Amino acid sequence: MQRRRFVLLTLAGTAAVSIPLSYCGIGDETDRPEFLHSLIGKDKTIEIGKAYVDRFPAEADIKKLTELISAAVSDQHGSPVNIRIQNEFRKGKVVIINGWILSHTEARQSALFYLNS
Amino acid sequence: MHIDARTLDNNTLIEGDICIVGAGAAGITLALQFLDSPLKIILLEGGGFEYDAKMQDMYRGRSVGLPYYSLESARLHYFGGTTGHWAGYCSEYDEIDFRKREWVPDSGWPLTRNDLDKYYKKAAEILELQTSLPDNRILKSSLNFDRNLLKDKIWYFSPPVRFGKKFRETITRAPNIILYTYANVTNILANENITAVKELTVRNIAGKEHKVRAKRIILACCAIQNARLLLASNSQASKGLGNDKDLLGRYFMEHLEMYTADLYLPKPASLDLYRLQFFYTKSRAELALTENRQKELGILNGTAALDPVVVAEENETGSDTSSNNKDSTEDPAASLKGWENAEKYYESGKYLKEKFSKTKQYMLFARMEQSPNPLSRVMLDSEKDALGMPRIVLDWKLSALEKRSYRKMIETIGVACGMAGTGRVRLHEWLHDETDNSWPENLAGGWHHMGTTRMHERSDRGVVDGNCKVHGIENLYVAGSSCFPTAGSANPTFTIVAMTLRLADHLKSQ
Repeated sequence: MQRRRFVLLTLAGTAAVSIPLSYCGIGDETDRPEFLHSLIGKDKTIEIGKAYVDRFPAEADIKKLTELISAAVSDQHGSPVNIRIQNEFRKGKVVIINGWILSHTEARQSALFYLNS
Repeated sequence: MHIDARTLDNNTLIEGDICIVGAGAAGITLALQFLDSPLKIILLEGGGFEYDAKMQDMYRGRSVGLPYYSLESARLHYFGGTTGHWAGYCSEYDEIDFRKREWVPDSGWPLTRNDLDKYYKKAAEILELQTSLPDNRILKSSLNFDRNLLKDKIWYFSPPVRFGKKFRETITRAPNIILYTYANVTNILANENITAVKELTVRNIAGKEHKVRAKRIILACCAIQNARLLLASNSQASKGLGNDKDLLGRYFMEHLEMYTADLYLPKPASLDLYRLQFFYTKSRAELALTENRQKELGILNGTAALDPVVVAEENETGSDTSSNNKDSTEDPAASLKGWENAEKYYESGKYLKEKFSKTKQYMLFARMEQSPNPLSRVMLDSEKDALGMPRIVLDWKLSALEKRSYRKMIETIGVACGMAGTGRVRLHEWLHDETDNSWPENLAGGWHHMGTTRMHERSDRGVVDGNCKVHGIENLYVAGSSCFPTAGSANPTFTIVAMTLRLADHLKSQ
């Protein structure tokens, strides 16, 4: 359900995005930070998401977060999410939330996961 | 030859060519370099061959700075010195450790890593290190992070060599070395112009006092005691011998050793390259930042060991500088007993079976050098010990640079994990707030004492010169980690032995 909701919101929020979502690969794998979730589970991922929203209240909005994640995705020409996240680490697009050293996209994914939970 | 100084007639005059004060890792290593030499070597040890509570009490002192271990427990006062309870961790200092770093105040040694290479090789033999790399199977478990950011720094493990046990017979049978036990030096008397040492005063708990004269004197009593002896030798120079520039006792340094973060892996792994089995493992790696990354971030040098969480949680209840662990940190006898028990436990192989399994979660146990700080110092107290020597006051201080270095080092490891898709890192809570420069209650050092007689070519910047000779005093030298201008990236014993071998070569060349 949450995944489907994310896809719909993504579609609704990307009218201005020039690269088609199908090309970006978004919609079936970015509504939660899969790798992080696989490491630490649902509860801790939600904790991170809540902490992110507390720290960046301007992003405490599903639509806004979806847009930001989509924009990050569209910047990277459809490479798989895990590669995009690795590239963010490489480029220094890193944020520390509750001590977790994360790429900005996966931190936002966690926030989205929290808001959708 | 061995003589118990308590058995000598009072006011005995002892004479020789070289007098070494202190029989720990540095003092014994130095004496061994003169085996079969025509020179007569006097080796003075304050304690005996066995632990003696009365002698250990001479090391008691006060701490007025950051919380620190009981000074009485931090060093052992008997033949063999603190090697009686060291853990055997060895690794060479890195090239960058010897260099002047613009972002580290008062950094830079008057020698390079290259100058020490041949001595490290010989020191490895003394410490019984197997310095070949781990085998290919183990090397394959390297995390292979971006080599622009991180490297695997290799550590070697001494059995550990207990100098007192290993070298007692060699020293006491050497015809040209006379070991005096229960011979505590309480004063260094210089000539009239204070340009050379004339004689040493030796006392013991039997109430006797003797004089020692030698052409050259080498202090090898450990960082705190070297400074204490020079500071207390103030009958001719009011601030102490070799202290014209008020540098003596300053720049006391430790290695910080603390759990800093958790590493989460996607599937269980044993990471053999990074694992340690006490008394079995001959070498392993710890994660370290490359020189370029240190420079880019403007941080100190350090390494991070990967401990499986089950091991880390046991260790976390172990030593720290607070008063919560009185048995191990405040009672030197209990500490020694603890080591004996640990050796039996590890030798049983039980540890190997229980703790060496694959796991998904590791803790990063990180070591960090302390930056040189003139305000971090040892001083004389008004209270005196049983032999009339002023006790020590330690004012241990850290700066914001140490905390920032810790945080940035772990952040880099976290970034490297993210880049490689290896896992994710979470900083421990005490490192969360980058504006907080305070230290947590479990602040812990490595029990390493360095820097109280720092080395510098200029007499206004250091107590000893590049050859470990006290500036301005032609026949007085200092051996050991008190000479280290910076703390370096690794535990000090390996470098203490290497530097002592270098000093021996210098003395032989004179």
